[in-house]
Amino acid sequence: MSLAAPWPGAATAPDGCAMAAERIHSAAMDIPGADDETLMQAYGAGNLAAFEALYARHRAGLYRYLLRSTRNPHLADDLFQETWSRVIDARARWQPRAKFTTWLLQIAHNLVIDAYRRQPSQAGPQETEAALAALATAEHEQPEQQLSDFQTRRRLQLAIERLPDEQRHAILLRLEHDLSLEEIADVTGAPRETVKSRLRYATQRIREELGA
Amino acid sequence: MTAHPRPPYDEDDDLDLRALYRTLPRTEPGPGLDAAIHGAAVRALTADRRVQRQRRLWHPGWGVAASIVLTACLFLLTDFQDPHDTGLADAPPVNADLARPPQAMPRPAPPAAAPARPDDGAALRRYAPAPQAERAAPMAPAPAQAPQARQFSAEPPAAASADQAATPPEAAAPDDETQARIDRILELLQDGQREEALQALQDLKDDQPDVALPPDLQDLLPPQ
Repeated sequence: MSLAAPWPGAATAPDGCAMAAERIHSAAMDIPGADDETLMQAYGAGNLAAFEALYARHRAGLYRYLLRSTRNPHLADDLFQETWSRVIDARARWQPRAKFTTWLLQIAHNLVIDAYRRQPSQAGPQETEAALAALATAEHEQPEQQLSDFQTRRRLQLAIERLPDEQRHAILLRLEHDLSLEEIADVTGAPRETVKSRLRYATQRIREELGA
Repeated sequence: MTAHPRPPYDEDDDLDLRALYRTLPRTEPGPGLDAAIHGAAVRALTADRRVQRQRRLWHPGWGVAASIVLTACLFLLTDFQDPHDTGLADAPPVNADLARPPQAMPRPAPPAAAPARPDDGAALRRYAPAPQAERAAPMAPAPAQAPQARQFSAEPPAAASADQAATPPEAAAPDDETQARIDRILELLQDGQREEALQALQDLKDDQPDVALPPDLQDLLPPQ
Protein backbone atom coordinates (compact mmCIF):
# COMPACT_ATOMS: atom_id res chain seq x y z
CA MET A 1 0.00 0.00 0.00
CA SER A 2 1.21 3.43 -0.80
CA LEU A 3 1.80 5.94 1.94
CA ALA A 4 0.28 9.05 0.50
CA ALA A 5 0.88 12.40 2.09
CA PRO A 6 -2.11 14.09 3.70
CA TRP A 7 -3.83 16.62 1.52
CA PRO A 8 -3.10 20.22 2.37
CA GLY A 9 -6.59 21.34 3.28
CA ALA A 10 -7.10 18.81 6.03
CA ALA A 11 -9.27 19.90 8.91
CA THR A 12 -7.93 20.40 12.36
CA ALA A 13 -8.42 17.85 15.09
CA PRO A 14 -11.69 18.22 16.95
CA ASP A 15 -10.04 18.44 20.35
CA GLY A 16 -8.05 21.44 19.26
CA CYS A 17 -4.83 19.99 20.52
CA ALA A 18 -2.20 21.56 18.34
CA MET A 19 0.42 18.93 18.90
CA ALA A 20 -1.92 16.04 18.25
CA ALA A 21 -3.25 17.76 15.16
CA GLU A 22 0.25 18.39 13.93
CA ARG A 23 1.13 14.78 14.56
CA ILE A 24 -1.92 13.62 12.67
CA HIS A 25 -1.41 15.98 9.75
CA SER A 26 2.26 15.54 9.43
CA ALA A 27 3.44 13.75 6.34
CA ALA A 28 6.25 12.34 8.47
CA MET A 29 3.77 10.78 10.85
CA ASP A 30 4.98 7.48 12.26
CA ILE A 31 2.25 5.42 10.71
CA PRO A 32 3.65 1.96 11.46
CA GLY A 33 4.15 2.91 15.10
CA ALA A 34 0.89 4.77 15.57
CA ASP A 35 -1.97 3.14 17.40
CA ASP A 36 -5.29 2.45 15.77
CA GLU A 37 -7.03 5.41 17.34
CA THR A 38 -4.42 7.86 16.07
CA LEU A 39 -4.62 6.35 12.61
CA MET A 40 -8.38 6.66 12.55
CA GLN A 41 -8.19 10.28 13.59
CA ALA A 42 -5.56 10.90 10.96
CA TYR A 43 -7.79 9.37 8.33
CA GLY A 44 -10.63 11.58 9.50
CA ALA A 45 -8.31 14.53 9.01
CA GLY A 46 -7.56 13.46 5.46
CA ASN A 47 -4.61 11.14 5.73
CA LEU A 48 -5.23 8.29 3.32
CA ALA A 49 -2.06 6.48 4.32
CA ALA A 50 -3.39 6.21 7.86
CA PHE A 51 -6.47 4.43 6.59
CA GLU A 52 -4.41 2.09 4.51
CA ALA A 53 -2.34 1.17 7.53
CA LEU A 54 -5.46 0.68 9.60
CA TYR A 55 -7.00 -1.48 6.94
CA ALA A 56 -3.89 -3.57 6.56
CA ARG A 57 -3.88 -4.27 10.28
CA HIS A 58 -7.46 -5.44 10.59
CA ARG A 59 -8.55 -6.72 7.22
CA ALA A 60 -7.61 -10.37 7.67
CA GLY A 61 -8.79 -10.82 11.24
CA LEU A 62 -12.06 -9.04 10.55
CA TYR A 63 -12.65 -11.08 7.44
CA ARG A 64 -12.03 -14.36 9.19
CA TYR A 65 -14.34 -13.36 12.02
CA LEU A 66 -17.09 -12.56 9.55
CA LEU A 67 -16.47 -15.68 7.48
CA ARG A 68 -16.52 -18.04 10.43
CA SER A 69 -19.44 -16.28 12.05
CA THR A 70 -21.65 -16.33 8.99
CA ARG A 71 -20.24 -19.55 7.40
CA ASN A 72 -21.12 -17.97 4.08
CA PRO A 73 -18.33 -16.49 1.93
CA HIS A 74 -20.63 -14.29 -0.11
CA LEU A 75 -22.32 -12.89 2.93
CA ALA A 76 -18.96 -12.43 4.62
CA ASP A 77 -17.76 -10.40 1.63
CA ASP A 78 -20.81 -8.17 1.80
CA LEU A 79 -20.55 -7.63 5.53
CA PHE A 80 -16.83 -6.99 5.29
CA GLN A 81 -17.39 -4.27 2.74
CA GLU A 82 -20.27 -2.82 4.72
CA THR A 83 -18.21 -2.73 7.88
CA TRP A 84 -15.45 -0.75 6.27
CA SER A 85 -17.94 1.50 4.56
CA ARG A 86 -19.28 2.45 7.96
CA VAL A 87 -15.79 3.09 9.20
CA ILE A 88 -15.21 5.39 6.24
CA ASP A 89 -18.51 7.17 6.78
CA ALA A 90 -17.67 7.78 10.43
CA ARG A 91 -14.22 9.19 9.72
CA ALA A 92 -15.02 12.82 10.53
CA ARG A 93 -17.07 12.32 13.68
CA TRP A 94 -15.19 9.41 15.20
CA GLN A 95 -13.85 10.02 18.69
CA PRO A 96 -11.50 7.66 20.51
CA ARG A 97 -13.88 6.83 23.33
CA ALA A 98 -13.10 3.13 23.03
CA LYS A 99 -10.53 0.98 21.32
CA PHE A 100 -10.78 1.05 17.58
CA THR A 101 -10.76 -2.74 17.49
CA THR A 102 -13.73 -2.95 19.81
CA TRP A 103 -15.64 -0.42 17.74
CA LEU A 104 -14.79 -2.17 14.48
CA LEU A 105 -15.86 -5.56 15.80
CA GLN A 106 -19.02 -4.04 17.23
CA ILE A 107 -19.97 -2.88 13.77
CA ALA A 108 -19.21 -6.27 12.29
CA HIS A 109 -21.02 -8.14 15.04
CA ASN A 110 -24.15 -6.02 14.66
CA LEU A 111 -24.10 -6.57 10.92
CA VAL A 112 -23.86 -10.32 11.46
CA ILE A 113 -26.81 -10.24 13.83
CA ASP A 114 -28.82 -8.21 11.34
CA ALA A 115 -27.92 -10.66 8.60
CA TYR A 116 -29.12 -13.55 10.77
CA ARG A 117 -32.43 -11.81 11.22
CA ARG A 118 -32.80 -11.18 7.51
CA GLN A 119 -31.79 -14.63 6.30
CA PRO A 120 -31.57 -17.16 9.11
CA SER A 121 -30.48 -20.03 6.90
CA GLN A 122 -26.74 -19.84 6.41
CA ALA A 123 -24.41 -22.10 4.54
CA GLY A 124 -24.21 -25.56 6.03
CA PRO A 125 -21.16 -27.30 7.35
CA GLN A 126 -20.77 -29.15 4.06
CA GLU A 127 -19.89 -25.98 2.21
CA THR A 128 -17.37 -24.96 4.82
CA GLU A 129 -15.94 -28.45 4.95
CA ALA A 130 -15.48 -28.46 1.21
CA ALA A 131 -13.72 -25.12 1.38
CA LEU A 132 -11.49 -26.39 4.14
CA ALA A 133 -10.65 -29.57 2.26
CA ALA A 134 -9.60 -27.55 -0.75
CA LEU A 135 -6.95 -25.69 1.19
CA ALA A 136 -3.41 -26.66 0.41
CA THR A 137 -1.27 -27.95 3.23
CA ALA A 138 2.29 -26.98 3.89
CA GLU A 139 4.79 -28.79 1.74
CA HIS A 140 7.28 -29.44 4.52
CA GLU A 141 4.86 -31.61 6.45
CA GLN A 142 5.07 -35.37 6.15
CA PRO A 143 2.00 -37.18 4.81
CA GLU A 144 1.07 -38.75 8.17
CA GLN A 145 1.65 -35.49 9.97
CA GLN A 146 -0.29 -33.65 7.29
CA LEU A 147 -3.22 -35.99 7.71
CA SER A 148 -3.23 -35.73 11.49
CA ASP A 149 -2.94 -31.96 11.54
CA PHE A 150 -5.50 -31.63 8.81
CA GLN A 151 -7.96 -33.75 10.74
CA THR A 152 -7.36 -31.77 13.90
CA ARG A 153 -7.88 -28.47 12.14
CA ARG A 154 -10.94 -29.82 10.45
CA ARG A 155 -12.40 -30.96 13.74
CA LEU A 156 -11.72 -27.58 15.29
CA GLN A 157 -13.32 -25.82 12.33
CA LEU A 158 -16.39 -28.01 12.46
CA ALA A 159 -16.62 -27.76 16.23
CA ILE A 160 -16.65 -23.98 16.03
CA GLU A 161 -19.24 -24.00 13.31
CA ARG A 162 -21.54 -26.32 15.24
CA LEU A 163 -21.64 -24.03 18.24
CA PRO A 164 -24.73 -21.95 18.87
CA ASP A 165 -24.47 -18.47 17.42
CA GLU A 166 -23.79 -16.63 20.67
CA GLN A 167 -21.11 -19.10 21.76
CA ARG A 168 -19.53 -19.07 18.31
CA HIS A 169 -19.34 -15.29 18.25
CA ALA A 170 -17.79 -15.20 21.69
CA ILE A 171 -15.20 -17.88 21.04
CA LEU A 172 -14.27 -16.37 17.67
CA LEU A 173 -13.70 -12.98 19.27
CA ARG A 174 -11.57 -14.72 21.85
CA LEU A 175 -9.56 -16.96 19.53
CA GLU A 176 -9.27 -14.67 16.54
CA HIS A 177 -8.78 -11.32 18.24
CA ASP A 178 -7.62 -12.28 21.73
CA LEU A 179 -10.27 -10.06 23.26
CA SER A 180 -10.78 -10.09 27.00
CA LEU A 181 -14.09 -10.90 28.64
CA GLU A 182 -14.88 -7.23 29.05
CA GLU A 183 -14.08 -6.48 25.44
CA ILE A 184 -16.23 -9.35 24.22
CA ALA A 185 -19.01 -8.06 26.43
CA ASP A 186 -18.62 -4.63 24.86
CA VAL A 187 -18.69 -6.00 21.35
CA THR A 188 -21.63 -8.34 21.79
CA GLY A 189 -23.57 -6.20 24.22
CA ALA A 190 -23.93 -9.11 26.64
CA PRO A 191 -23.09 -8.99 30.36
CA ARG A 192 -19.66 -10.13 31.38
CA GLU A 193 -20.92 -13.18 33.24
CA THR A 194 -22.96 -14.20 30.23
CA VAL A 195 -19.90 -13.96 28.05
CA LYS A 196 -17.96 -15.97 30.55
CA SER A 197 -20.59 -18.68 30.52
CA ARG A 198 -20.70 -18.76 26.73
CA LEU A 199 -16.95 -19.10 26.53
CA ARG A 200 -16.92 -21.89 29.08
CA TYR A 201 -19.57 -23.87 27.23
CA ALA A 202 -17.94 -23.23 23.88
CA THR A 203 -14.52 -24.32 25.12
CA GLN A 204 -15.96 -27.44 26.65
CA ARG A 205 -17.83 -28.43 23.48
CA ILE A 206 -14.80 -27.82 21.29
CA ARG A 207 -12.67 -29.97 23.55
CA GLU A 208 -15.25 -32.70 23.38
CA GLU A 209 -15.27 -32.54 19.60
CA LEU A 210 -11.50 -32.62 19.42
CA GLY A 211 -11.27 -35.51 21.82
CA ALA A 212 -13.89 -37.56 20.05
CA MET B 1 -31.60 -33.44 38.71
CA THR B 2 -28.15 -32.88 40.07
CA ALA B 3 -26.31 -29.64 39.51
CA HIS B 4 -22.69 -30.09 38.52
CA PRO B 5 -20.61 -27.17 39.68
CA ARG B 6 -18.32 -25.97 36.93
CA PRO B 7 -14.92 -24.51 37.55
CA PRO B 8 -14.74 -20.77 36.91
CA TYR B 9 -13.64 -19.83 33.43
CA ASP B 10 -10.03 -18.85 33.36
CA GLU B 11 -8.90 -16.70 30.47
CA ASP B 12 -5.80 -18.86 30.18
CA ASP B 13 -7.81 -22.05 29.88
CA ASP B 14 -8.01 -21.73 26.13
CA LEU B 15 -4.33 -21.23 25.40
CA ASP B 16 -4.11 -24.56 23.64
CA LEU B 17 -7.22 -23.82 21.64
CA ARG B 18 -5.85 -20.45 20.62
CA ALA B 19 -2.64 -22.07 19.48
CA LEU B 20 -4.61 -24.64 17.53
CA TYR B 21 -6.81 -21.94 16.07
CA ARG B 22 -3.70 -20.21 14.71
CA THR B 23 -3.06 -23.26 12.57
CA LEU B 24 -6.35 -22.81 10.74
CA PRO B 25 -6.06 -21.43 7.24
CA ARG B 26 -5.39 -17.70 7.29
CA THR B 27 -8.19 -16.75 5.02
CA GLU B 28 -8.03 -13.18 3.73
CA PRO B 29 -10.30 -10.98 1.68
CA GLY B 30 -9.80 -11.06 -2.05
CA PRO B 31 -8.06 -8.33 -4.02
CA GLY B 32 -11.42 -7.19 -5.37
CA LEU B 33 -12.64 -6.44 -1.88
CA ASP B 34 -9.42 -4.63 -1.04
CA ALA B 35 -9.69 -2.51 -4.16
CA ALA B 36 -13.35 -1.68 -3.50
CA ILE B 37 -12.69 -0.54 0.04
CA HIS B 38 -9.61 1.40 -0.95
CA GLY B 39 -11.61 3.11 -3.67
CA ALA B 40 -14.33 4.02 -1.20
CA ALA B 41 -11.77 5.51 1.16
CA VAL B 42 -10.22 7.57 -1.63
CA ARG B 43 -13.60 8.79 -2.85
CA ALA B 44 -14.53 9.83 0.66
CA LEU B 45 -11.39 11.91 1.02
CA THR B 46 -11.94 13.44 -2.39
CA ALA B 47 -15.42 14.46 -1.34
CA ASP B 48 -14.03 15.92 1.88
CA ARG B 49 -11.47 17.88 -0.11
CA ARG B 50 -14.19 19.28 -2.36
CA VAL B 51 -16.25 20.34 0.62
CA GLN B 52 -13.23 21.94 2.23
CA ARG B 53 -12.51 23.88 -0.92
CA GLN B 54 -16.06 25.15 -1.08
CA ARG B 55 -15.92 26.12 2.57
CA ARG B 56 -12.82 28.13 1.91
CA LEU B 57 -14.53 29.95 -0.95
CA TRP B 58 -17.75 30.47 0.96
CA HIS B 59 -16.56 31.15 4.42
CA PRO B 60 -19.45 31.41 6.89
CA GLY B 61 -18.06 34.72 8.10
CA TRP B 62 -18.71 36.29 4.72
CA GLY B 63 -22.27 35.14 4.78
CA VAL B 64 -22.83 36.50 8.25
CA ALA B 65 -21.25 39.84 7.35
CA ALA B 66 -23.33 40.16 4.20
CA SER B 67 -26.49 39.39 6.12
CA ILE B 68 -25.69 42.02 8.72
CA VAL B 69 -24.99 44.68 6.10
CA LEU B 70 -28.15 43.86 4.19
CA THR B 71 -30.27 43.96 7.31
CA ALA B 72 -28.78 47.27 8.37
CA CYS B 73 -29.43 48.79 4.95
CA LEU B 74 -33.04 47.67 4.93
CA PHE B 75 -33.49 48.98 8.46
CA LEU B 76 -32.11 52.39 7.57
CA LEU B 77 -34.15 52.62 4.39
CA THR B 78 -37.43 51.80 6.07
CA ASP B 79 -37.63 52.72 9.72
CA PHE B 80 -35.35 55.76 9.83
CA GLN B 81 -36.73 57.35 6.70
CA ASP B 82 -37.33 61.15 6.92
CA PRO B 83 -40.05 62.43 4.58
CA HIS B 84 -38.17 65.67 3.92
CA ASP B 85 -35.08 63.72 2.91
CA THR B 86 -36.89 61.38 0.63
CA GLY B 87 -39.06 64.00 -1.14
CA LEU B 88 -42.34 62.75 0.28
CA ALA B 89 -43.09 66.24 1.59
CA ASP B 90 -43.25 67.50 -1.99
CA ALA B 91 -45.74 64.90 -3.02
CA PRO B 92 -49.09 66.22 -4.32
CA PRO B 93 -51.99 66.24 -1.89
CA VAL B 94 -54.28 63.27 -1.87
CA ASN B 95 -57.42 63.69 -3.90
CA ALA B 96 -60.28 63.35 -1.45
CA ASP B 97 -62.68 62.13 -4.10
CA LEU B 98 -60.32 59.42 -5.22
CA ALA B 99 -59.55 58.42 -1.66
CA ARG B 100 -63.22 58.11 -0.72
CA PRO B 101 -64.43 54.51 -0.57
CA PRO B 102 -66.77 53.52 -3.38
CA GLN B 103 -70.44 54.04 -2.67
CA ALA B 104 -73.13 51.46 -3.01
CA MET B 105 -74.30 50.93 -6.52
CA PRO B 106 -77.93 50.31 -7.38
CA ARG B 107 -78.42 46.65 -7.97
CA PRO B 108 -79.16 45.99 -11.61
CA ALA B 109 -82.53 44.59 -12.40
CA PRO B 110 -82.77 41.01 -13.62
CA PRO B 111 -82.50 40.58 -17.35
CA ALA B 112 -85.65 40.97 -19.35
CA ALA B 113 -85.33 37.51 -20.82
CA ALA B 114 -85.19 35.90 -17.42
CA PRO B 115 -88.56 34.54 -16.32
CA ALA B 116 -90.20 36.35 -13.47
CA ARG B 117 -90.00 34.46 -10.22
CA PRO B 118 -93.10 34.77 -8.12
CA ASP B 119 -91.30 33.07 -5.30
CA ASP B 120 -91.85 35.11 -2.17
CA GLY B 121 -88.70 33.93 -0.44
CA ALA B 122 -86.56 34.91 -3.41
CA ALA B 123 -88.10 38.34 -3.43
CA LEU B 124 -87.37 38.77 0.23
CA ARG B 125 -83.79 37.62 -0.11
CA ARG B 126 -83.26 40.06 -2.87
CA TYR B 127 -84.69 43.04 -1.03
CA ALA B 128 -83.92 42.38 2.55
CA PRO B 129 -80.22 43.35 2.56
CA ALA B 130 -80.63 46.23 0.19
CA PRO B 131 -79.60 49.60 1.55
CA GLN B 132 -82.05 52.36 2.09
CA ALA B 133 -80.72 54.29 -0.86
CA GLU B 134 -81.54 51.41 -3.11
CA ARG B 135 -85.09 51.29 -1.86
CA ALA B 136 -85.46 54.94 -2.68
CA ALA B 137 -84.31 54.34 -6.22
CA PRO B 138 -86.96 54.60 -8.90
CA MET B 139 -88.84 51.39 -9.42
CA ALA B 140 -90.17 50.55 -12.79
CA PRO B 141 -91.55 47.43 -14.41
CA ALA B 142 -88.84 44.94 -15.18
CA PRO B 143 -88.96 45.07 -18.98
CA ALA B 144 -88.45 48.83 -18.93
CA GLN B 145 -85.88 48.84 -16.12
CA ALA B 146 -83.57 46.15 -17.34
CA PRO B 147 -81.86 47.99 -20.21
CA GLN B 148 -81.30 51.02 -18.03
CA ALA B 149 -79.80 48.93 -15.26
CA ARG B 150 -77.44 47.27 -17.65
CA GLN B 151 -76.44 50.66 -18.91
CA PHE B 152 -75.66 51.79 -15.39
CA SER B 153 -73.63 48.76 -14.65
CA ALA B 154 -71.49 49.38 -17.68
CA GLU B 155 -70.58 52.87 -16.56
CA PRO B 156 -67.97 53.77 -13.97
CA PRO B 157 -69.26 53.99 -10.42
CA ALA B 158 -68.67 57.71 -10.05
CA ALA B 159 -70.46 58.57 -13.27
CA ALA B 160 -73.32 56.29 -12.45
CA SER B 161 -73.74 57.92 -9.10
CA ALA B 162 -73.71 61.38 -10.59
CA ASP B 163 -76.25 60.49 -13.25
CA GLN B 164 -78.49 58.90 -10.73
CA ALA B 165 -78.44 61.96 -8.55
CA ALA B 166 -79.03 64.38 -11.41
CA THR B 167 -81.72 62.59 -13.38
CA PRO B 168 -85.24 62.74 -11.94
CA PRO B 169 -87.04 59.42 -11.62
CA GLU B 170 -89.55 58.51 -14.28
CA ALA B 171 -92.15 57.28 -11.81
CA ALA B 172 -93.14 58.95 -8.59
CA ALA B 173 -90.97 57.87 -5.75
CA PRO B 174 -93.00 56.40 -2.93
CA ASP B 175 -93.38 58.66 0.00
CA ASP B 176 -92.77 57.54 3.53
CA GLU B 177 -96.21 56.22 4.04
CA THR B 178 -96.15 54.28 0.81
CA GLN B 179 -92.73 52.92 1.60
CA ALA B 180 -93.99 51.85 5.00
CA ARG B 181 -96.84 50.00 3.36
CA ILE B 182 -94.45 48.30 0.97
CA ASP B 183 -92.27 47.30 3.87
CA ARG B 184 -95.28 45.96 5.65
CA ILE B 185 -96.17 43.85 2.61
CA LEU B 186 -92.68 42.51 2.50
CA GLU B 187 -92.81 41.63 6.17
CA LEU B 188 -96.09 39.82 5.68
CA LEU B 189 -94.59 37.83 2.85
CA GLN B 190 -91.60 37.06 5.00
CA ASP B 191 -93.87 35.82 7.76
CA GLY B 192 -95.68 33.56 5.34
CA GLN B 193 -98.92 35.51 5.43
CA ARG B 194 -99.33 35.54 1.72
CA GLU B 195 -103.08 36.23 1.59
CA GLU B 196 -102.79 39.26 3.82
CA ALA B 197 -99.78 40.46 1.87
CA LEU B 198 -101.65 40.16 -1.41
CA GLN B 199 -104.60 41.96 0.05
CA ALA B 200 -102.40 44.76 1.35
CA LEU B 201 -100.68 44.94 -1.99
CA GLN B 202 -104.00 45.17 -3.79
CA ASP B 203 -105.15 47.87 -1.40
CA LEU B 204 -101.98 49.83 -2.02
CA LYS B 205 -102.44 49.54 -5.75
CA ASP B 206 -106.04 50.63 -5.47
CA ASP B 207 -105.13 53.63 -3.35
CA GLN B 208 -102.17 54.66 -5.46
CA PRO B 209 -102.44 53.23 -8.97
CA ASP B 210 -99.28 55.02 -10.10
CA VAL B 211 -97.06 53.86 -7.32
CA ALA B 212 -93.77 52.31 -8.42
CA LEU B 213 -93.63 48.86 -6.92
CA PRO B 214 -90.62 46.63 -6.81
CA PRO B 215 -90.68 44.17 -9.70
CA ASP B 216 -91.34 41.17 -7.52
CA LEU B 217 -94.33 42.82 -5.89
CA GLN B 218 -95.47 43.92 -9.29
CA ASP B 219 -95.44 40.28 -10.35
CA LEU B 220 -97.71 39.38 -7.49
CA LEU B 221 -100.47 41.64 -8.76
CA PRO B 222 -103.07 40.06 -11.01
CA PRO B 223 -102.54 40.86 -14.69
CA GLN B 224 -104.56 43.78 -15.93
